[in-house]
Amino acid sequence: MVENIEQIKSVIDKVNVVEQEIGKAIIGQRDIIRQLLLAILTDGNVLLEGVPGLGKTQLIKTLARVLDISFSRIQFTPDLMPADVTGTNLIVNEDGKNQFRFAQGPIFANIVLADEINRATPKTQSALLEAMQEKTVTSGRQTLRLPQPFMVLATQNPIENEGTYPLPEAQLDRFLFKLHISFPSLEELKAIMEVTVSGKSVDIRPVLTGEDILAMRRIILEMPMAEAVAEYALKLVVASHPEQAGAQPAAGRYLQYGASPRAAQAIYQTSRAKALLEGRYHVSFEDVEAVALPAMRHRLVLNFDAVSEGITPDDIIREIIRGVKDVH
Amino acid sequence: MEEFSGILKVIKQIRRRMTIMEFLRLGCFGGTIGFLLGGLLNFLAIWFPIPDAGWLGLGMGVLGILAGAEVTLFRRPGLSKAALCGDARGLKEGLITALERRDKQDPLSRAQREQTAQMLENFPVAKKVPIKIPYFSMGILLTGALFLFLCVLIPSPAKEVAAAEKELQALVKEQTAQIEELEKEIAGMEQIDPESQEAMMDLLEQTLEELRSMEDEAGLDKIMERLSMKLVKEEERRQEEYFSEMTQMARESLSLDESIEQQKQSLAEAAESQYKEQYSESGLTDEMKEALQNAAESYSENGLEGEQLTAAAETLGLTEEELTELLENAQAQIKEGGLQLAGNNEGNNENGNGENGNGENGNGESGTAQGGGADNGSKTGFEKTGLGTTTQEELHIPQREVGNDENLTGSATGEASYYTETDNGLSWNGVMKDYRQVAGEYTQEAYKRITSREVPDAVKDIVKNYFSGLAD
Repeated sequence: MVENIEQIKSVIDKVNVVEQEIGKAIIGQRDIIRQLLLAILTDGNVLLEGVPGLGKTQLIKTLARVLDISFSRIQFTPDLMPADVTGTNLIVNEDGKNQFRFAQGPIFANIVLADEINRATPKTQSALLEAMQEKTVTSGRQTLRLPQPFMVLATQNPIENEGTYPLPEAQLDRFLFKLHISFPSLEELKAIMEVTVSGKSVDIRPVLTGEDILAMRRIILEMPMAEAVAEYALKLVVASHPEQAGAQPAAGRYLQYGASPRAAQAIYQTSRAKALLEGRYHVSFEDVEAVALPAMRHRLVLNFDAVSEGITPDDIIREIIRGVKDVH
Repeated sequence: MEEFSGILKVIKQIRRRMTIMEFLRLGCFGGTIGFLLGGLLNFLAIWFPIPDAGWLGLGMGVLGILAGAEVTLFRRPGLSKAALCGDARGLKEGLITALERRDKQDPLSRAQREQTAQMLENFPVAKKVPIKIPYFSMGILLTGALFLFLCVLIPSPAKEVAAAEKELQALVKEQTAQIEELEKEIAGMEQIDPESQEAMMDLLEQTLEELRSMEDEAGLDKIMERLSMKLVKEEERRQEEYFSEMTQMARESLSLDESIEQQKQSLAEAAESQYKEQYSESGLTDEMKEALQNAAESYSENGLEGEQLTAAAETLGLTEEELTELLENAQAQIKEGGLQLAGNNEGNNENGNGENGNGENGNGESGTAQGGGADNGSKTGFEKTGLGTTTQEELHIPQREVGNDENLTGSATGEASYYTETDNGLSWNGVMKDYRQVAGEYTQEAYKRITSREVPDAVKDIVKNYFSGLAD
């Protein structure tokens, strides 16, 4: 329960400082940073997709430095095993007796960077499923809770297909957002050069604690949202389902499956967080539209027509937003 | 909650402006439809007679606008819709959120209301939600109205026909109203007997039916003329009935019928006398007497008709001319011999100042004011042949005292008159009465009768005129 509005403002100020701190090391990508923060504040996992060298890993590492919480990195490779992620039972001699003891894997951290997640086999990828959804890890008969806050920030390269394993739908659905890292503009690239090549060190200080993040999550849960806005978010999700009555023509033509209810949850929560970070205590239609793309794009299953015509999920989502907005 | 009252005020302002815009839109739409339909109606009225087409068209236009206004009331936007409208102008759903959470008192809801109230400080409603005049719709509306008025202004024979029909309808309506009013008056008139009321009501109902099925103005004139004639006939019929009743009453009262019978009898007797003198000294058979009796009765009433004359003449062995002459002579004899009806008052009695009517000791059978029998002052006075013993007694008639039965029947102190008692009853020997006196008595009696009974004024006038005519 939110005690007073000053507490809210204090947390919002800290989040804004986080953005500024990240901005010191990461040039540009303001929207990506904001969306990354939205996911963190709403207990979500994020899949960052971009060509190599755009600073995906650097962004996450910087974020981990700004947040005063534990961080671990897992480099996903084809030979990575699930136990390498979650941990394994080791035989330990204690008091003259050999016995199994669970050695926690790198997943036991507040922020886990799953770098190039699509390079691991589906078996290993699936090791993350429980952790991402239930925030627990089960080994043998033992289930261990992961530290709070917990989030998986994964990266993947979309252009290399050889030696990669596309994430299964169930895995994708567990990511709150899928963020596309775009190539920086000339100005941004110039600024990146100044930071990275000049040898200047960037002093980044931790701003936000784990407690702050958890408090922010509670505030977001109480954030006012008008019925019309909430209905709008639901309509967007429903409109992505070709078989539904409220489906938009684009969905019917290019989609095999629409977004899952997790997409609606993601839109609800992240639109609230977005409004709050912008200093508003109410959610607008624009907030919903802004988070609809990262929340839905990885949850749509394109059909052959869309693939053959080069239609992207973002194109379809924009059409859906346009169609639902007109009706609404 | 103070902040919310400000928010609610803004929402209501927005709603008011939305309502006005909706009214303009729907009013223009409804008015356009109405004027176009009205124009179409008037366009058709150029060829087909449509009464009041212009007013109807105008009414349709106005009705369309009013219908638009009516629909606007039903479609008046709610507060939520108004709030969303305001939010779409840059308030980022602050109004709708505040409206939905107006009763919530948690810090976030309060903060949200305060924040929205602050946003509204820089939210000029009139500027953000301007009332947009639908010029295009209004242009179409005016075009429709112009079309209507142009069609109204175009003259045509059909429009003249429609105007004439309208006038006719007005006349019919007026006449119908008058007739219905008259029906009410007649129904409320207690002095008119039910039969007359029913007859009048039937007459008026018939007229109303005719008016309803009437087709042109000439028909109206004819209907009203027929009504007028029927009323006159009915009036005459009723007057005749009343007059007949009055005369019957007078005849009953004054024993006129008996006098007429007596006159017929006298004529028959005179005819018998004449027949004996001229054609049969030996006497008459019963058949011949009956023939003479019938001939006399017929002659007294209407003159002899062909068949009666032929039949009587055959029985009597006379030609028709002879029989007619016989009866005329008999009539003349009666007149010359002073054998006359008191009602005629034409006698030449030398003692003709006797009072009319029976005396107290007069003929009890008659009991009327009509004197009968022979004039005792006349040398040629008629006496029935073959009569039995004749006795005469004095009969005293009062001096023109009228007004009650006692006076009419005379008194012992007046001048004397005489009657003759025969085998057939009493026969007056003739009393000479002044015509004006008799007429006066009859008149008085009639007046008394019509004032003592419920007689319509019109009939009273007829009776009065009749008797005043007698005096002249």
